[in-house]
Amino acid sequence: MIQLSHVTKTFRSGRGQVKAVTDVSLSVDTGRFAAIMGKSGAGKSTLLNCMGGLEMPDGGEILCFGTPIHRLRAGKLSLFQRRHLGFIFQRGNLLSYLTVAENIGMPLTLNGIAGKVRDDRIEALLADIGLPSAATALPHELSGGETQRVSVARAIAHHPKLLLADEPTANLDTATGQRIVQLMRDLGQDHGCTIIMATHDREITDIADPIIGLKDGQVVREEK
Amino acid sequence: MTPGGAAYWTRIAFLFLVRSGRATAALSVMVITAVAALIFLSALAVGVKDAMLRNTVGLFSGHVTGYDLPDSIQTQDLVVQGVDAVLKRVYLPGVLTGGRLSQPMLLCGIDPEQETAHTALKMKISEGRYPLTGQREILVSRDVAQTLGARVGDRLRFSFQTGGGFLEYSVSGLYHTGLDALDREMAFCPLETMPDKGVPWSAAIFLTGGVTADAILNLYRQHWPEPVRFESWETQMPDLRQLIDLEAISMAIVIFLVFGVVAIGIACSFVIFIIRNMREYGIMRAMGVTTAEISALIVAKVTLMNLVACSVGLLIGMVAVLVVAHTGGIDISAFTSHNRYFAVSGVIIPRLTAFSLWAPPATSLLFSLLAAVWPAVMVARKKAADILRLI
Ligand SMILES: Nc1ncnc2c1ncn2[C@@H]1O[C@H](COP(=O)(O)OP(=O)(O)OP(=O)(O)O)[C@@H](O)[C@H]1O
Ligand SMILES: [Mg+2]
Repeated sequence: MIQLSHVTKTFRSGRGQVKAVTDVSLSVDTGRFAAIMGKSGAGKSTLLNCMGGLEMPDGGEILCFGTPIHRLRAGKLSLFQRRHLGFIFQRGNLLSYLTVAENIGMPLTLNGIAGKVRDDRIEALLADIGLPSAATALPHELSGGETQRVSVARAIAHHPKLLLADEPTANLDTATGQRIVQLMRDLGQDHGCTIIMATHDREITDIADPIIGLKDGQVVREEK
Repeated sequence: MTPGGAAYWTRIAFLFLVRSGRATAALSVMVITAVAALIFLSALAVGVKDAMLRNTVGLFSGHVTGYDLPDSIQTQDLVVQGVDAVLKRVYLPGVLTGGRLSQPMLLCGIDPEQETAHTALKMKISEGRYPLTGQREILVSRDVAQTLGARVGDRLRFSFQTGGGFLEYSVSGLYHTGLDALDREMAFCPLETMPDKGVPWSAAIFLTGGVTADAILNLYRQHWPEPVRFESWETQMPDLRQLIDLEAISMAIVIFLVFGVVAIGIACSFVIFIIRNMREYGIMRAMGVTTAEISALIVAKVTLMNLVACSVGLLIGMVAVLVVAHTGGIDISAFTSHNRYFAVSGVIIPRLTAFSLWAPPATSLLFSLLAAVWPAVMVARKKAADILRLI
């Protein structure tokens, strides 16, 4: 379970103080596919980053499967992230100089999975994402949709407990975007992975549960 | 650290360098050029120093001079490892007279064949030629000839100070070196034409390139204690010693500046090279790669690249130095003809030394690594979200 209580994040910027997230409390049960929805600037990315330890909240608590992630020191946080978290961003997820297989293999290596186990898992994932022959391709040789599919494969390769996706479909057409969301759900749920995804996309509402509405950094509604 | 730690990150660094082909190539070209140029410059500095020494020492005196040697010591006895040649000389003081004019003079008995083979005085003969072995001939300086009103072929009389007596010599040639010690006080004749006055002989010892006088001096002094004396060119020619030091200092300043400019150029290029990929470090941070691992990756990139580029640069620099050295060096005689420290020839032959080989690659590696510190610290200090927002 992911539990946030009274999470606040303020940025000091050229515009003065920007309250990106204000007193957000919410929880997502293990194994769920949650969507964070809201307009641009609503604070979706900030909230997601706080959940994954990419950003430190100014106040409040974040319990990630019981671990107070906001209190972990840098080294511990990294080890927690590599073991239990997977990230997908809107763009530029892959390391440009590594092949598809090497990209997918990195979280495996980081978690001490090597040799045949690793190779087999990469192969299976490539089949799952429908790119069985792309192992040796470099990221710049892929289309946008293919890149995001590989990103999904890499994000869940090490069977994380939590998959955080920040508008992974924003740069794609609707059909391709839906395939990506499907893929995340299918692959994630095989391993009981909790998924939290930020999106503007209304069509996601069919799959997602719960749906968390965000406006000006505050939760405005929580559905289902 | 990751299981497989250093090896894994080195492999990733290698893949990065290979697959970032163009950027790697551009940066490599810069490092290769810099290293090769620095090696050549350092070798050239050594070459200038060598040339000054070779010129002054090679003209007549030799690197080491032995005084008061008894006849029990032969020239061959002094030939040890590192010694190129030992020339026997006997000095007899006296007065040289031509017509009604005369001048005090130190007559130096030499072996013409050995002297012409190992010293460059012959190149300073402006008129006539070197005395021939067995001939009662004398080589005097242009200045002395002028003072005595003598010309080539004239007969001069040398009166010996020790034990009296005199001999007549015909002037075989005139020379001019620009060095007072040679031009004002000395004249040369074949050794065997001198009367045997039972005086000890002197030795002019020429060393092979790269051998220091000190090493040979110590050896000689151990073998032949006082009253036999040995002195190096440094004691004999303190002015040359100082000039070489001065030259070394000015060259060191130039080299320091050039190294500095090159080092900063390399450092800046590496900063750009590393920062270019900032987003990827952000992605790695999000994947849970520790800052230590990212630092290791950056260090591996910088080190691998330097290893390859510096090796190539080293090779090119070395080949350039060797090619120039073996094709006769760089002739700067147009600029040195009136410089007495280039009395023999104005050719500079660059020479590789340990310093000229290790300093340029070390500079490159050091400043590349220093350049890596800033991006590495940036990756470590910033939150992953901030890094990802950068680009
Ligand atoms: N590092 C930062 N410095 C200053 N202000 C920031 C920073 N990050 C976010 N903000 C501000 O916080 C607010 C929320 O930003 P956030 O990126 O979380 O929104 P979002 O919902 O993800 O928007 P989008 O849908 O456009 O991605 C915005 O007003 C933004 O300008
Ligand atoms: Mg966002």
